[in-house]
Amino acid sequence: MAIKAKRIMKRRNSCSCSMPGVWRALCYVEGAVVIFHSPRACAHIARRMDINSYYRNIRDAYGECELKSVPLLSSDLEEDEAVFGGENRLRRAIRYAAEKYHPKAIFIANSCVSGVIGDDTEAVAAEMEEELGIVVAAVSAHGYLDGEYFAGYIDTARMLIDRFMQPQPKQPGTVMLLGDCGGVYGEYVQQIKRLLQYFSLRVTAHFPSFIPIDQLASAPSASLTIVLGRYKADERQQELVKLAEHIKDRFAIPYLGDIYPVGFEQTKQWLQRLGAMIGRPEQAARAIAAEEQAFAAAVEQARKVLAGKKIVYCVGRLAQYFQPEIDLALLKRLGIQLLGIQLFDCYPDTERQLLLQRLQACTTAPVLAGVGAEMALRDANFVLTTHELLSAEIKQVYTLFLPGAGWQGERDLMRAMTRIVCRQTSRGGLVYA
Amino acid sequence: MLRPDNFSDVCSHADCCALAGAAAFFAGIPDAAVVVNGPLWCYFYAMRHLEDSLPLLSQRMHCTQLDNESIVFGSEEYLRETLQPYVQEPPALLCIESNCSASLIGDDTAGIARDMGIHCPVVVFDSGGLTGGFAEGYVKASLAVLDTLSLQPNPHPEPQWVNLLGLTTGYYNGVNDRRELVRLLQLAGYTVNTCPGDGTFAGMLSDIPRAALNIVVHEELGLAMAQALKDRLGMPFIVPGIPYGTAGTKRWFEAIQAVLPAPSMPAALSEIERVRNGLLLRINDFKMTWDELWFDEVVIAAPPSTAFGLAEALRTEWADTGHLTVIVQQAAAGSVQQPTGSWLDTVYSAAVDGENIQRHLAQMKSGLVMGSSNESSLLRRAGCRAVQLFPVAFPVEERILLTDAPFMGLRGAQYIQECLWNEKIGQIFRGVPREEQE
Repeated sequence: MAIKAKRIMKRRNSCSCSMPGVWRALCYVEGAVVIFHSPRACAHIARRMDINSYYRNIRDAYGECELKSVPLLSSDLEEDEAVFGGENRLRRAIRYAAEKYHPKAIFIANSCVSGVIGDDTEAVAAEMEEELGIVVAAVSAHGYLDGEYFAGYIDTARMLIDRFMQPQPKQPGTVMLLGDCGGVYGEYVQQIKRLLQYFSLRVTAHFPSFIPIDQLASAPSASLTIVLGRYKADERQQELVKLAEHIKDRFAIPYLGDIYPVGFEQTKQWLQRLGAMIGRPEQAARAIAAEEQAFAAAVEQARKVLAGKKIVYCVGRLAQYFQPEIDLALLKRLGIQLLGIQLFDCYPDTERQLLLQRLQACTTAPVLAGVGAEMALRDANFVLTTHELLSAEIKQVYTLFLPGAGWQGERDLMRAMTRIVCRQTSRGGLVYA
Repeated sequence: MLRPDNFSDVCSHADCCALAGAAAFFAGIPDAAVVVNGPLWCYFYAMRHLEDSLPLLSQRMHCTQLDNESIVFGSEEYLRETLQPYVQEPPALLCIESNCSASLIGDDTAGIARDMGIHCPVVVFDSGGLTGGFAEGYVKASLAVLDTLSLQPNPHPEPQWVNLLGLTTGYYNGVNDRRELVRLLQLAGYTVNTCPGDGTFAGMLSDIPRAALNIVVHEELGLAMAQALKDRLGMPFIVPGIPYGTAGTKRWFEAIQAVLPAPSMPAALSEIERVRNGLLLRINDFKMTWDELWFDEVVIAAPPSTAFGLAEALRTEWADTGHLTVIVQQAAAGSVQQPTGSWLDTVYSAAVDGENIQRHLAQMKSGLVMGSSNESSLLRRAGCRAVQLFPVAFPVEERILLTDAPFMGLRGAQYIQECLWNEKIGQIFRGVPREEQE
């Protein structure tokens, strides 16, 4: 019974596209119109992402389903533009957008095609801004070429800050959330809001995607920025922190962004840091005590089913997007016996070594291969995995790529493991944590 | 001359890019491997479109993972690395398709593959968004494969052997539709020789000329290949439409029979009669309790051949409606003649009528949408919760398809009517206000 994942590859890089990042930053920013300077077909990807997120939100974050997205247009590049350039076509698309929607701002997302053919979209944007008398801005990244999803997102957010935000007197006890993490109604933000209640802090802005253009000017009235995120080591997250720094420099709003409340231990540290930042360490201590009590109760409940169970941990995720420390600490606390770790064949050597170091810092369980792996699989009650396995017999718990805030990730994992253990022996299959 | 500008909102546009269409054709050749010469992002979205029908496609569809460096300095190194496994273990057919930016830099992809000594037929071509949408990619792939096959005219085709052209698992429920068409043709005594791009293995593609007739199913996908086979090999073809409904199935058979007489046509016609009468009697009985199947408004949104075919069957056979709108979900609609007939009230092209479509859907208080999650999400966002949805096109997020019931043919006629009636009654039980049910 060898372990084989359904979909796994050696990733050379993380080639996402900047255009959907631009779209995500603006999709609910009333008053904006987005133009993809691209073949029309590229827009289907943003549309497909939108549909997928809509259906996920129907389950978890219904409020976001009620939000109305702003118009998304395409300059509809074809082979003619690949030869003769697409700048004139872009000008016409911008005029069309201005006439049709009367927006307060038009944002241009560049595709890899516009990058390769060398259209100077920033110059076109400046020219059209002068002609139309509204903000027209081009994001600097071109598809996947010189930036990725996050580059488009950050660049757009920076434009919104620089073009629309104004210094404001500060309102005590208010917070601006920076970043996305599943949207304004998503589980992550709901958990953050729950944690902020310990300090009687309220969220007055969620930037960038959820503030209309005409309310951006007043957004800097918040007295604190909280950067949303999961992985401090992720270089893209560091870009978001730089953006918080930019907001701090321009509008004198301090920010919390060097630690993220993901997992029980980090959540405690985050609460402590927040308490220190706003000068209320006693409230932080009370919050931590309340969280500890709730977490201990949840663990005790799960231990009744999970203590003594044996598992194999299958890992194929890149180190910068992965926090095995949280999973492994939870397994220990639950009394689950880790028979071994199987690394999928998808890592460059340096990445593999890095991940092994992190895993071995948390556990003495062996790294499995060949016969050893097969024996462990036979003995295991279930497999905890980052990738779906191609086996109808193996019981699998799929660990979340994007865990929630607080100890929601641990709660979900305990629930999934409990369910898979309760599954009758004749059934394998997958449970998502 | 400048082509007309089309900058409309993409909110109603569900077509995907040529990369997915081309990959769909190749993925439909079970022993072919597909390499996307492009970035992971484009590859991933093309593959995700096809994985609904081919869940293990990622095992034979791979990506060169191009980045900025490869666009500046060329993609050869990336291609060589990705193609390397095929030197030792060549697939029956290797297809390399370049996305739009890769096609612009113009690497000699075919030369690189040749130089590596990959011992299998290799099909190489550009198929990014600059090429167009799903249909354009599919067509380009099908013609590129023909170019590699070196087919010869066959003066003595097998009588009653036919090929089915323009089928794909890249269309929603495509697998089950193909099975139903093969079943029906066999019922009439035909032998289905090949279905290029939908189930026929690479080695069997050279048998295409053994058939006496090519039958085009989805015109926007299959017509180009049929025409090419006629031009190059003199193979006759027919575009009989799609057999939706019992009457549509009968018309379809009659059209084929007129060109290539079937040995067992009476058996097929008798089966059509049996199913038609069975449906009629059962549904008539059901109406005594549940009234008529009536919709104030019906919208059908799908690729052109599917949309027009379903629209005709719905209005002339399955249900009564006050107004019927078709939304054509592919820019290549021009390749499919819009049918004439009093049963069709309004036609929109999703590629150019985005705002009109959004407005039209938002105004629906009740009725039926046969479309995709694209239309469904627009409806729900507009608060139109009383509208029935019957998915007939990708993407479909809110329903799971596990059975083998087709949309086409006799089994399709049974299945669709069963679903429409059950959903009508489900709405009554869920308490949808009476005026919103009809």
